[in-house]
Amino acid sequence: MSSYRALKAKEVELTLLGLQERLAGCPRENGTHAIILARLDAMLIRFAAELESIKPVAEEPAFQSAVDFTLGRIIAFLSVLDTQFIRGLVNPSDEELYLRSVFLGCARRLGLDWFEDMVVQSSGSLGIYTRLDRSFGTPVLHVPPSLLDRFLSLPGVYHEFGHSVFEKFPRLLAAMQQQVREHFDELRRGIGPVQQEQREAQMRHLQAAEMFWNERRLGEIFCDLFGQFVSGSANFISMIDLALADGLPPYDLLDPDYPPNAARVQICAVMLSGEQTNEPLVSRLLDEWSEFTTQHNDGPSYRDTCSEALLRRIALAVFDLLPVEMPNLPRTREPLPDVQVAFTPVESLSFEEAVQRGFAVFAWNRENFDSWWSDARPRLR
Amino acid sequence: MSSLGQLSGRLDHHLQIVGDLTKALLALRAQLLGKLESLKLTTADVEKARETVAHFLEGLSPVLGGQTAVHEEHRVIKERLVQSGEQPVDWADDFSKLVAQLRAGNIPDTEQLDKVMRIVGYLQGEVAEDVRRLRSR
Repeated sequence: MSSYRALKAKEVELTLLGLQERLAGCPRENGTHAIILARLDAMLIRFAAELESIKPVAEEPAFQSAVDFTLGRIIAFLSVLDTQFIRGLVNPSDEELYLRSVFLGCARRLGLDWFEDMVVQSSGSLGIYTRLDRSFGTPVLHVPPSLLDRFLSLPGVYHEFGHSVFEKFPRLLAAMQQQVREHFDELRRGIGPVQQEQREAQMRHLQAAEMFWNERRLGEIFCDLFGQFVSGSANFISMIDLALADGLPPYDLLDPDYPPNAARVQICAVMLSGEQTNEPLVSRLLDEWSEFTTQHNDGPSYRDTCSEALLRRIALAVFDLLPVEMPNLPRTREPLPDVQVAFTPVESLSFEEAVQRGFAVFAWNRENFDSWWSDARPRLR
Repeated sequence: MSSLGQLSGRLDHHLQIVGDLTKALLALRAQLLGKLESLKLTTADVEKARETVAHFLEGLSPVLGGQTAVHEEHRVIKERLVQSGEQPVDWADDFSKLVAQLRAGNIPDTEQLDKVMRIVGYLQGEVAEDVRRLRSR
């Protein structure tokens, strides 16, 4: 064999062997990453067998595309292993292993009981690789260096977990899509007696607004709502930080993956409980956010696409369905704890509780935040 | 926060579809060309392949026929066909006939298999694009 496909098959075989060697060199003390390593080992053996199985037809023109797609698919998987998994497995830092244990504990308490193992990799921005070879059991959580020092972004971990929830329960997407469809159907039915031309123009605007809410954007806004459900005011404050810190125009509809920041903040705001909304810090931030958004022009496209009525019905649908899909998912309805409570000494502190207490200290006793966090961090579980 | 979460779900989902359909098309072509034995495939594999392809096309055809796409893979295929100057409605007709043939236990011909392979290629293109995105993160 000396065709292109034979060469490519050989290259894939070599890459595969290289990854097998690197996995064999991963530390396996105390069972750390045992599940992930076993799964990746098995995957590579399976790919080696698949590579072998196509060899008899690799050079036959009739099978060209099938061979190309098989090689392409194996290359894609190997790239995923290489870019997402390997570094956090070959040489995990103490901090990464510590965060792995904290976040695995958090995921289990929240009811994400399909997480069997996890790699935490300090590699830039917060993000999650949710699914490998049809399984949601072995995610990779990418975290920025010194994540625990970036307190305002900690609820972002819930957002990332939300991606796994969104993928795991397809009814959530279906429920959101249904709300979008019904909302725009109602608007279409509500167009009054107008000139045909005007009617057509309105129909086009509504169609464009409806199409905006594709799977990607609904997925991201679901994750914001998941964080809101779990973490209440803390998540809302984190969303304000996210929206103000990057300085992006709040009504920009151009991002292909995300809804505009104004919609993301607003959908979380509408799901704050009365007590949370009346909390002085939240109330102050709502005012600041409102002041910021008034400096920008929302425009008719934004108003058509992200009306409060639509955001509210999407949010309510998600909050109704989440407890059905995940009966053990705790919801934070209360405002942030009293700062005195936050300073109450404890033996151990869950990540979720640390977020609540930490935001209270951050809000009302900032000058003592460092000492509170230095004391609380080692107690995280 | 990054778009990795949605990218990973989409990539794995597309890989799953590409994998299932490629294996199925390989089995159907092997049967057509008398290569089952050399690929160590059985008639049970061919039966499964028929079901896999028919099931996928049954979901896709209504979208090509004009229904709004609920699944991203259907949307992608329709978009790529339109970009290539094809009429999705014609493809919907062809695929509906192919599904009927598969359900009746008939063997699709080379042209029909190539047609399905072409839409798998569109998804494989998406996979390659997402892998590039992963590498550039």
